[in-house]
Amino acid sequence: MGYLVTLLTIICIYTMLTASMDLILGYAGLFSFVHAALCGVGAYSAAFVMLKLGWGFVPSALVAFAATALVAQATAMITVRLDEHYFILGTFCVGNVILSIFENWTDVTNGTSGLYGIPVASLFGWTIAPGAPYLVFCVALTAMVLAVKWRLVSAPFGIALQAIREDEIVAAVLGHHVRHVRTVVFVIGAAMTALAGVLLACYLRYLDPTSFDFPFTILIWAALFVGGSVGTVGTVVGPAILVLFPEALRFVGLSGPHVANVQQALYGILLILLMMFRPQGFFGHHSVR
Amino acid sequence: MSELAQLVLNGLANGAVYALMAVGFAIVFNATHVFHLAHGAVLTFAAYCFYLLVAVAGLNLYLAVPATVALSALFGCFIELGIYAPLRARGAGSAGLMIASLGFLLLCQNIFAIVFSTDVLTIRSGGLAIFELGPLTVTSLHLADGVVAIVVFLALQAFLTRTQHGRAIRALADNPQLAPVVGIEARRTYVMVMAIGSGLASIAAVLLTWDLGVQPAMGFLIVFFSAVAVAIGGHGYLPGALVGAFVFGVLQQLATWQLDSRWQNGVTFAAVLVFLALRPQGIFGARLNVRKA
Repeated sequence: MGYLVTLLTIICIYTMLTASMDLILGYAGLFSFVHAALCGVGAYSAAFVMLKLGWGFVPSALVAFAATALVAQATAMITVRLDEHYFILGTFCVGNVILSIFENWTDVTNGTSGLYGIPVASLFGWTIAPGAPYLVFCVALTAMVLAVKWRLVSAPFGIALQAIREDEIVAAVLGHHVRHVRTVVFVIGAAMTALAGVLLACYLRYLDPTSFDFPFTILIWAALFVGGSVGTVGTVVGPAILVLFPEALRFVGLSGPHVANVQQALYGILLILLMMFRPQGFFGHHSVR
Repeated sequence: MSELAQLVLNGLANGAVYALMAVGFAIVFNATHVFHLAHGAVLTFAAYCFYLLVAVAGLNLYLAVPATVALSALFGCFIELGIYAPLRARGAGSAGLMIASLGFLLLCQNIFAIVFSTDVLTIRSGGLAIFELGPLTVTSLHLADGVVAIVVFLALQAFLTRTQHGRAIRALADNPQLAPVVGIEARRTYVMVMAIGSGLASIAAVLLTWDLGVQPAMGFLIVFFSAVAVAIGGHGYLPGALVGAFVFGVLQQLATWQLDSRWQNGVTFAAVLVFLALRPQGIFGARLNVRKA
């Protein structure tokens, strides 16, 4: 039972990350490579105020929102005008800078040894126990994020996003301020990843820089492409498949030091096969072209 | 002062290795319009080939290097024919090709980790010959890095400008719609471009393996470094990639000048970001890499 709760909590947090990636990559067509690092900014800033100032979940989450949105705004100001491939390179550079800060600003992040002893989440004086109660809490927040995302994309804003993704010149001619819309969606997406980061911090109760390295971003990309970009079902199914698939490998009897490598090799094959045979993923409404 | 000059010299030597990678990446990116992240997989493949040929099979260097280059060129052709060509036939665009390329990089990196473990494998034992230039020192390998990069680049440039095949590659890079009209077969030219690009990567791999050894994760970072070098130099102009790589190499070393070397990555990429913000078209700026709206 505990094992199942663990898996479901992880799926929940990944769903939140994938949903925000869907907003940025699926709807807006921005291939963001800083996703994991931005999640880390949220996680670290929340963990810092929880540990050093003893703040509760809600104020810490608000700090994480603010910090991540600020970093995302700065990122967007530099990178959003770069074209498709250069956007990846620009966000790769930002990711390196952020990771370097995680590793070396030891007063705040405790460097490569990581932050220990992050308290369990508490809401207005009520402690949310790890395990099933925390899972319920995560599910509720994820549902909220999915609802916000659904509302956002069914509004004219979402249609503008897709129009810009398909043809930015036509969208600009029709009067959309393309760069502004992209910046807004990038910052909103980053705020969602910040919330996921806070949940991750309270779940793991330990943070180190390697957890927010680029393979994590690639994992979220893979989750999005497997589930299918542009849509809600895909952002739940994709992470579920990617989390449960390695667990299935374990039941087959594969274990030892190579499990992580076999997993990642399979993600690689999955990405190639998806692009070849089903570029819209299992439940997506948009083909990656 | 001499410390600074020494850092620049070391940076130029590292830049020479990045230059071989970056020029390979640039020629593939220009001609086939694929954001060829699997270039990193080619680098790792070549490095392990070289390691196996020299350290395990005990081959002489004069045989091992050409064999590595040939095998890597074949590997590049395999990537083109096995992944990119089928994807293009199914209508994949630049995003689909890039994701598949990333997938292939991930696949190779982890296969190598499973087969060879994640340890660094080295082939060279003992130090390198050191030359003294006044207050500066340069190792024989660093000297070789620079010479090889320049010679290979000049040969490539001659090939691209003086031969029929080279002109076909440039025509295809320039205008992929028009080139087939004048009888240039795109599919065959793509295979040739991938072979050349992979050959360049394999030379970088040989130099890196001789210097530092080989490990599965080396390709991922270096392919991104070389893509950043291409961005610095300016996409669409091949000498730009060479210059960008030297600039990036020097920048990486200068980042350690006044600050602790643990900040190297952060400072380097912050500088690159400032550069991209001010001059997104790169030093030579053949193409403006900003969005149209």
